[in-house]
Amino acid sequence: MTEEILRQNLLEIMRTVLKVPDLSPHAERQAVAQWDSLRNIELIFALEDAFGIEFTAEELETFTSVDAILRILTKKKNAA
Amino acid sequence: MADGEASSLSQTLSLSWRLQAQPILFDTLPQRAQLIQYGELIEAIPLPRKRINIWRNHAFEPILSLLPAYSLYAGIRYDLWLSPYDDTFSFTDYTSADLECLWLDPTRYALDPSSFTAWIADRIADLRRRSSAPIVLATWGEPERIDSLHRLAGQCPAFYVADLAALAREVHLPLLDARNTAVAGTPLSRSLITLTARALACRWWAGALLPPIKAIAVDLDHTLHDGILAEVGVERVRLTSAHEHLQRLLMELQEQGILLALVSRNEAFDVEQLFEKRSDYPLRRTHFSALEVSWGPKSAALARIAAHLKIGFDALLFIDDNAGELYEAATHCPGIHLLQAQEDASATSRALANYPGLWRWQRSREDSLRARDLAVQHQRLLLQEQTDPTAYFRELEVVIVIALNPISILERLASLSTRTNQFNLTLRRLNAVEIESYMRAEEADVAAVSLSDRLSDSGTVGLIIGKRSETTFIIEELCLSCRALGRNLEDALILPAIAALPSSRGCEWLQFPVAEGPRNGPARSWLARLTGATELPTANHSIRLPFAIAAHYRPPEGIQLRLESHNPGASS
Repeated sequence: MTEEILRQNLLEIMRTVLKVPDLSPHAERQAVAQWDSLRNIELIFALEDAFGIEFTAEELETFTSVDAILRILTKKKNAA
Repeated sequence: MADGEASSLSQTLSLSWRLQAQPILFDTLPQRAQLIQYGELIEAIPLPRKRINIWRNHAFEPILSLLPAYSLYAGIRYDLWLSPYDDTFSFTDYTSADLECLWLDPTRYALDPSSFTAWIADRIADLRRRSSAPIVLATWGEPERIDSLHRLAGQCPAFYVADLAALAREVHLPLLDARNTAVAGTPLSRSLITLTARALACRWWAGALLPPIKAIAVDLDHTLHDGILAEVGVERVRLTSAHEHLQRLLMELQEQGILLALVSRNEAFDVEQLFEKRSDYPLRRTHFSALEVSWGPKSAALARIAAHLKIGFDALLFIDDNAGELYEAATHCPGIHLLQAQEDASATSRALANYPGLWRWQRSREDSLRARDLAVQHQRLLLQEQTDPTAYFRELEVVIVIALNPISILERLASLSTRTNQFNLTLRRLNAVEIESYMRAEEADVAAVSLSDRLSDSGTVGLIIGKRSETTFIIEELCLSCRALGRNLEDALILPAIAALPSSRGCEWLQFPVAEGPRNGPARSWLARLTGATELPTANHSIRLPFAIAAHYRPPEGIQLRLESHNPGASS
């Protein structure tokens, strides 16, 4: 899976879970009101379901933007 | 929207949504993002609403977003109220609800199983003082703890234990994930959270709130086996291991009292040969209470099946692999439940095992008697046609047993009140807790009426609740199962039971409040005949008759009447 496809898949899930249809491809968590702590849990679980992975506690601390999550996903996919 | 309309889901929600959603919702491990997406329609679809209080000591929030998709599929909107976190379960700020759910993490208590159960019993009693709604305790624990809770549930009407550890074992997934206590406020594993949402919406809550499905009509080709019988023949249709598992699941349901019918476009001879020759098929011809094999429309076959089984379409689930057949049934059989058989029969089994309204908390003795009772119906009709009434009753050896205040069968009585549509005079839909309160009241009594003959035991078929008001005896609830109808026994089942209720002693008048429902014409016709009226009593009528009509009634010769008395205070 190329990084671009991975980003598209990630964005699709984030838009559904956060209920932000026009979420920017480089959105920062602090700029998205809907990305609160409850939705963040939803997002973690939805991504783990979709990509068949488990995030570590340390990785979850870096869930601060679309780009940051994409970096973690890429790293985990490459390591798999 | 009335409760009864919940089952008419296919009229409200498009069948195409259901057919698309089915494989997603009932996947081995459904994906959270997809469930959220499929639940987005919830705001646009009017559904009957049920309020559920969630009393909790760990986070319920990870479940919330998964519920709308399953609610839509179940045809019921769960309006949830979440309590603050409270390890004491003190139920402060109580507001009435249709169901109470205790969402309890047992790891937060250092109590041995017996002390834990005693504490739960105390908490349930406290909640019961505020609410007569069903109570579902969703928790987990070692087998000894869960067994002890199940024993407690056996003693408390309308209290049920949902065992999350058993669910985890059923789906071979981990129950707990230590990471999640910090991340999500619950120790449950991510996968189990998803499957718990499904179990709550489709089994545990639906099992207490939705009208039950009583029968399954199932297609044959590409549903019970792989291949087309008419094309490849009896020996070459393939029973895969997944199809075998599906057949075994249907057999289990049949053993629990769900009636099975086969509806197939085939030659009847081929189908008979199939069941005769394929000894590897777990399902046999005798498992089916009705067989409709023809080249005519399946909707017409389903209508004949419903009439034969004496049930409405809303109590019938039709399984077929062909979407066209499902659309045809949806168009001509209003309210029918529909499930699409999948190419992978294990997906059909998963959807069936979770189909809302099919899973029940309890199956009564009467459920298991249903198929046998139906099988001998034809013999009764023949006898009725061939003999005079006295000889008919004598030859059948009809026995009616009136049990007064039988607290041990509260769930069966609640089932009669909530499930009977045709012979139900007041349509009050009482639950077990409400019926128990009549048993314990000084001025009221409850009669359960059982019926048997030499052909079959029909079990408890009647519920009558009467309450004294000065010299008038008011019939608060009167229902007869459809299994007791058509045998000319209505008067014999009802009038001696009314006269036997102790609180009716000395009453001069008998009063029948009447509710008018879409299908309770048979009950109202009976009352009209009793009063000599030419028109059916309608809603908000209350028919008043001299009590002597019950006191002086004598059943036809050949019917044996027996009276059993119980003391509800003794088992408390």
